[in-house]
Amino acid sequence: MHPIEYILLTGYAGISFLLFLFLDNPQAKLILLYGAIVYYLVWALAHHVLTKTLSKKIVLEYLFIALIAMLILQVVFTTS
Amino acid sequence: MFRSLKNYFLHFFIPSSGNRNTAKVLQTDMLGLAVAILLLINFALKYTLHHQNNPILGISMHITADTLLEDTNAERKKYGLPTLSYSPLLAAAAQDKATDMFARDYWSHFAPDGTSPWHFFEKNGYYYEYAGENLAKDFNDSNAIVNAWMKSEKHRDNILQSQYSEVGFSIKEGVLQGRPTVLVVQMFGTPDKNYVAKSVPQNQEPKPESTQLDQVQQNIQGAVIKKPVIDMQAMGKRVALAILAILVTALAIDMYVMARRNEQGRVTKTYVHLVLLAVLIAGVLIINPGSIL
Repeated sequence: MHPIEYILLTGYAGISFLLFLFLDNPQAKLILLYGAIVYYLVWALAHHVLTKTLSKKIVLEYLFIALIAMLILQVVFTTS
Repeated sequence: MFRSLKNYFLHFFIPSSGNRNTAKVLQTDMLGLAVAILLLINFALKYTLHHQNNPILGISMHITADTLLEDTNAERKKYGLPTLSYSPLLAAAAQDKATDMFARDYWSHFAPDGTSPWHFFEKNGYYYEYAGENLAKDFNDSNAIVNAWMKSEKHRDNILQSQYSEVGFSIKEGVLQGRPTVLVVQMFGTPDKNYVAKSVPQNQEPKPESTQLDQVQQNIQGAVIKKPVIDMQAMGKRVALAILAILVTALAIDMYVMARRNEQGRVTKTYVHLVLLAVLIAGVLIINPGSIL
């Protein structure tokens, strides 16, 4: 993986975390987390397209993990 | 028995030739199963919340004046302070404040026309030497409210104020600033007995205390929802967090094994998954749907 790709991914995660700490609005926090999930999917697809390793199985794996993250978030947010 | 458990663990968590070099937990069929379980939990949560006696909010509440009092006093005990006694007058004042906030649509200690919290104390015949107010909204658990107050210096100062001797609560549902909301008002006080004695006019009968008590009881009962036999929310949350923990464990093991085998492609993919889940874990740990004031 190219260092820039690492920076884009880890940097986004770090910024999300920092923003999360400073945001007061719970809705904004939730939107930020959903944003992280969308970014993860876009980043992953772009990475696999660029490295020519994109396959149906890989897309499915990323989609499932994104869905799991989203559904866990919904459960936690509903029950907190 | 132990050996079979060990084999199961290895099959589910360690990539090997037996599971096509991908831990069973990370294979798409298992991930699909996790998605299905989480979808079912979400569906069940929505169904149970919809059928609970909470038509305005669509969320469930575990807030009672009793638990708020318990939690507040537990915090005071930790600091060696005397516990607060429940005051029906303060509860009535808190109820009036919450009603006013919904009626005039504001989220502040002061009403838009400048009406202060002290107005509600006096309106309910509570003449005080010391008084204070904490507000919370959008929480659905008493413990989370008191924890949030304890994390804020000003609110903590109120809870740990040694001069207060009484407390009252209101838990009220309504629509605030266009959103369904649960408001919690906590009012502290120390009655000024001299002032009360002077303020009751000679020719006026004092309000029978039982009427006020009945009103407060009704208000509190209105805000308390009996816990069901199966707490769907607690169970749903535990299952969701268990799935998250299993996934993170499997990914961490996968990354370690693949790094040792020098399979850079797999390490990258696993790293990406772990970054997302790390953000999610941070969010889950920090997320707090309520606000305090």
